[in-house]
This record gives sequence, C-alpha cells and structure tokens, in this order.
Amino acid sequence: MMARVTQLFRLALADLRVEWPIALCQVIAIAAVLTPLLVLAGLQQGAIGTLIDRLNRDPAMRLVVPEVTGGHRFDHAWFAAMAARPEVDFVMPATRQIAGQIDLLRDEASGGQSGGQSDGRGEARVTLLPTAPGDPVTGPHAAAAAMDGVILSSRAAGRLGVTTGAMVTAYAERTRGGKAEPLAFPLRVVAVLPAQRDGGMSAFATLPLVQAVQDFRDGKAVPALGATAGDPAGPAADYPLFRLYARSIRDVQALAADFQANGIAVATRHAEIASTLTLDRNLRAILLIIATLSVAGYVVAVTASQWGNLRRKRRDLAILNLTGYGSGWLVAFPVAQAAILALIGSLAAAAAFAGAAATINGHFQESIASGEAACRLGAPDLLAAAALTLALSLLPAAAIGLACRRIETSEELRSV
Amino acid sequence: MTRPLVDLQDCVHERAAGSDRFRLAVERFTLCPGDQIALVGPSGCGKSTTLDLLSLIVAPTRAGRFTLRMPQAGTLAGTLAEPVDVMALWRRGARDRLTALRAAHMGYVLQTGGLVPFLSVRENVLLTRRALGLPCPGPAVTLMETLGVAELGRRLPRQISIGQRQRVAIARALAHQPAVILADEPTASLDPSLAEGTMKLLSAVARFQKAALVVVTHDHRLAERTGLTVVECRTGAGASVVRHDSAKAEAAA
Repeated sequence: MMARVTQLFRLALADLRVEWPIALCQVIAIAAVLTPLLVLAGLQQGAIGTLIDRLNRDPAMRLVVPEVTGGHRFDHAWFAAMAARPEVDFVMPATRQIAGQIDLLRDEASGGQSGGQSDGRGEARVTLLPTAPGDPVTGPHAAAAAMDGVILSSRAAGRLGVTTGAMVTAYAERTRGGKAEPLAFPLRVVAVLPAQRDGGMSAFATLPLVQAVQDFRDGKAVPALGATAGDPAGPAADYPLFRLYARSIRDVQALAADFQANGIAVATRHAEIASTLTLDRNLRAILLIIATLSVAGYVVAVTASQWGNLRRKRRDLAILNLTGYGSGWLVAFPVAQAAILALIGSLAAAAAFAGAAATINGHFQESIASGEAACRLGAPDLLAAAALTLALSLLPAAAIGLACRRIETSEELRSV
Repeated sequence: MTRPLVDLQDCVHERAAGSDRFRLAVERFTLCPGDQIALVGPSGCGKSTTLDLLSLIVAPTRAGRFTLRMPQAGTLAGTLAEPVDVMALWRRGARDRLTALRAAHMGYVLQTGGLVPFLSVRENVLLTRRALGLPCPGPAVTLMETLGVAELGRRLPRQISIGQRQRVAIARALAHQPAVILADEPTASLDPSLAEGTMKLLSAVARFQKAALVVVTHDHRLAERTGLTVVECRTGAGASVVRHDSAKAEAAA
C-alpha cells in the first residue's frame, strides 16, 4: 500500500514539477482567494477580539448586582448554587449599603513606619464591601485581607493619602436607646487597587468583618471589634444583596434574563456589552457572506481549472492506463495533485497573512497594548482554513477523477 | 505443440461513427510463447484495432472464444495458469481486472513511443513495474543498457530524439518481463535506417526474454527481413478479416 501511495505522489509531483508554471498559477490562485479571507478573519478576531478581551478584563463589565428593593433574601444555599453555575465567575454576599458606610482616618502615628503616605485629606467615607479569594476586583490581594486588613480602591487610598502597609482607623456609629454609640477599630491597608479595577470610594474586607460592622449598626454586640453592648450577634442566615461576576461578558445577558425571570431586578452594563457584541455579530455575518461568496468562486474556479487540466492530460492518463494503472489510479491522480496544490496554496496564504498581519499590527501599534493585536489568527484557525481549502479542492478533484476514470484508452491513443 | 497464450475464435468488433461503419472479424487467432508475428495490411484494415483487442483496451462486440492463458506467477517458465475468459470480463465491465492482466502479462509499444511526458526516461521504463509493485529497478537497468538508453535516465522524453524514445518505449514494454509484447507501428516515425535497427532490436530483445511479439506494420518487407511471421489483415465485403493460427498451438479444447 505504501509503495502505491509513494508512486501516486511521485507521479503527481513529477507532473507538477514539469508543468511548474501552471502549478504556480494554481497555487497563486488558491493563495489569492484564501489570503484576503484570512486577513478579514484576522481583523475580526483581532480588533473585535481585543475589544471583547478588554471588556472581559474589566470586572465592572461582568458585574451583575440586584437593584436595592429589600424584597429578596439570599441564603447560603442560593450562593452555593450560583457559584456552581458555569457561567458564574464569582459571587459574594453583600450587606445593606447604608450599613456598610464607614469613615476611615489615616493613622498619622504609624504611617511613617509601616507604610508610605502622600498628600490627601487623611479621611474618607467609603463603602465597605466583602471580598474573598477569586474576587476579580481584588484579585490575589483578597487572600491577605484578614479581620484587621482592608483593600482600598485607588480613589479611597488617594483621598486618605495612604499606600499599602499604612494603618487606618475605621469609624462607625449607631444609635441605641436614643444614644449615639461610636465604634473605632484599626485596619491595615493590605493593598491599593489600580484605578481601573474600582473607580469608587470602596474598601474591601472579609465577609466576617463587613458582617460585624452591619451587626454593630443593628445594635448587636460585636466583641471582635470591641463593642460589647447589645445582644450577641448570631451567624447571618441570609443576605439582602450580592455582587456577582459573569465568566464572560457573553454570559451577562443570559444571567440577567434568568434573574429577571425569577423576579429579581438586576443592574448590568448590558448596553455597553450589547453594542460590542452586536458589532462582533455583524462583522461575523459580513465575514461569513464574503467567505461564502469567495468559497463558491473558489470551488467553481478550482473545478474549472482541474477539469481543464484533466482534459489536457487525457492522453497521459490513457498511457498510464495502458501501462497498468487502473481506474483507482486515474481518480487518485488528480486528487493527489489537488491535495499538493491546496497544501502549498494554504502555506503561501498563511505566509502572506503573516506579512499582512504584521503590517496591520505595526500600523495600529499605538492603539493596542502589549499582547493585543489588531489582526491575529491562531494556529488552530490557520489549520482549519488549510483543512477547509483541502476539502474544497479534493471534492471537485475526486468528482472529476470519478467522471474521467472510464477513459477510452484506445481512442485517446489514436487521437494523437 | 503448446497451449496458446492468446486464443481468439470468431471475435468481432464493430463500431460506427455517423454513417461510417467498421467491422473487424478475427476468425481465428492464436499466439504461443516465442511467436513473432507482424500484422500487415493497408490503412484502415483493422491492424491497430486487432492490437487493441489483444491488449484489452477495446471490447469485442462478441466472441466465440477470447481467452488468455498466461504464465503462472512464481512457477517455472512455461507453466501456464488457468485460462481467463476475457469476453466474460468485458461483459462484467471488469476494466480494472483487464488493466491488471495487461500490466502483468503484456508490454505495449506505441507508434510515437507513448512515453509519459512528465516522467523521466528511467521512471517511464519503471512505470509498469511500479504499478505492479515489483522491485525497482530490477532488470530495467540491464535492459536500458542493452537498448542504449541507460545514459538518458534522468532526461524527459522531450529532451531525447524520436529514435531514442522508441527504444525507451521498448525498454518500458519489456521491463516487467511480460509474456506478450504488442507494438503498434513502432518504426513508422523513424527514418528507414533507424527503422530496421529498431525492429531487429525489438525482435531480439523479445526473443531473449522469451516473450511472444505482435507487431503492426505497413512495411511488409521490413517484417520479413526481421524474420517475423507475416499475417495479412484483409479487407473484404463490409468487414476486415484477420486469421492466424500459431504453428505451435495445439488444438483448442
């Protein structure tokens, strides 16, 4: 079998080598159809892909939060079920927003020793939000936040004039029995988030700490924070709010619809996501139309070229048949040639695409960040394009080969 | 007496192109190992069609008998296999089986050499051996040296002379050591001085390989000078007729 395959490709290659100008034209024709399609697909994947990647990297775009109605409570089982859903990247309980408001004051005494300080008012009112490992906003810092640690948004840190390692004092107040009761406890700044992660006046802490602050507001005793007055606080059975991040911006709409269907009104950045995804969809549709037309043209051109080529080679095929090459060979011969030309054409197209992509990316260098590209295709995409080209070349070749396999050898030999 | 390699009885081939009709009747034709015959006759008398019938590239319209009894592979020379009913294969449309029979047992020399233009001389000579999966080059090298084309191995057919092409075609026809060599006017495109030498070479090499030889030629005298048995292809009333009974053939069963 191997000897037969070797002989088949020996014959196919010998013919292409001798008639190299025609073979070259066919390779150029294949590359000429395939290269623009690859560049278009590369632009679609590069430009729109980069836009989508950027949106995906911004946790705020994937955020789904319930609108504050007070009509829902979310227990631990609900959070466990949500966390298990494949389209959910991270979900975290949230306490009442007003209960989470605290004042932070820069600790002047410790500032010079444990952390750097800068200009700033030295005090800030922040929203205290719970975080945990896996939180896309706090990233790797979440693990470092214990009962005495806090992660600050860039804006909050700027207002306080602190950097990582600084000590701050948290202040909260409650009214119990008509009497105001203040609470103050120290916190260490574990990290300061980049501005693009959170643009608000936010401080992130562990859920027990945030829960403790809410318990204090509710008049409960919170010994961990030094508030001993009031009834002892029990473990929280449920929460009024949550902070949920979809795995991708493509999951946001479906998740929001799911919540709406269950009577939970949610807020998302759907409008901004939709405009990008619509652009992506429309470009894909345009690309598909262009690709379909190009492929149809390619198939017609390849079929006509192969048919003409085979008509021209009928006498050669007749001689092959005379010398012992049966119908299987006569079908396989154009198929092998089509395979060789399609593979070389695909390689030429991939090389041309690489050149075009480098030029395009160089042109847009100032608009794209490191690791991003305006025009890009991965190896699997290029392999898929080559496989499609191969299939679209082999099918007409096989059809033509089958049509020509019953060659009338005697007539072809006498026609010379 | 020996059993014939090829045995035809009342074999008819008819074809029509518009108002032109052609009918060839091979009343009797037997070919035994070592036979060397020349089919001669005027143009259009059916010499080449007879050769096409023998080479299994043209189907008989009908045949009383058309059998091949070729040497059995892997046995002593002269041991013939069971006869193959060619007419039955044509009726079944078993073209690939006929092609395989041709490749295994026949070599064909065309008028203009009939070399594959995109293959080198060497690959042309090895063409049938490779189709049959035989070890290469085998006896092809010696054969090419005998025929004086060994030096041309890497050249393409268009890069050699017509006389050289004919010798390459003879080498190709013999390279797989077939039992029967069929040659369709192998010297028609050569000048007379080359023609005689080529015809004698073909005859000598066929004899050396113990292959039967059938040559179609216009040149009656060349055939006689080469020592071939001349078989006349006669044109009669509405039909061309061929009749040849090998002197070595024993009566068909």
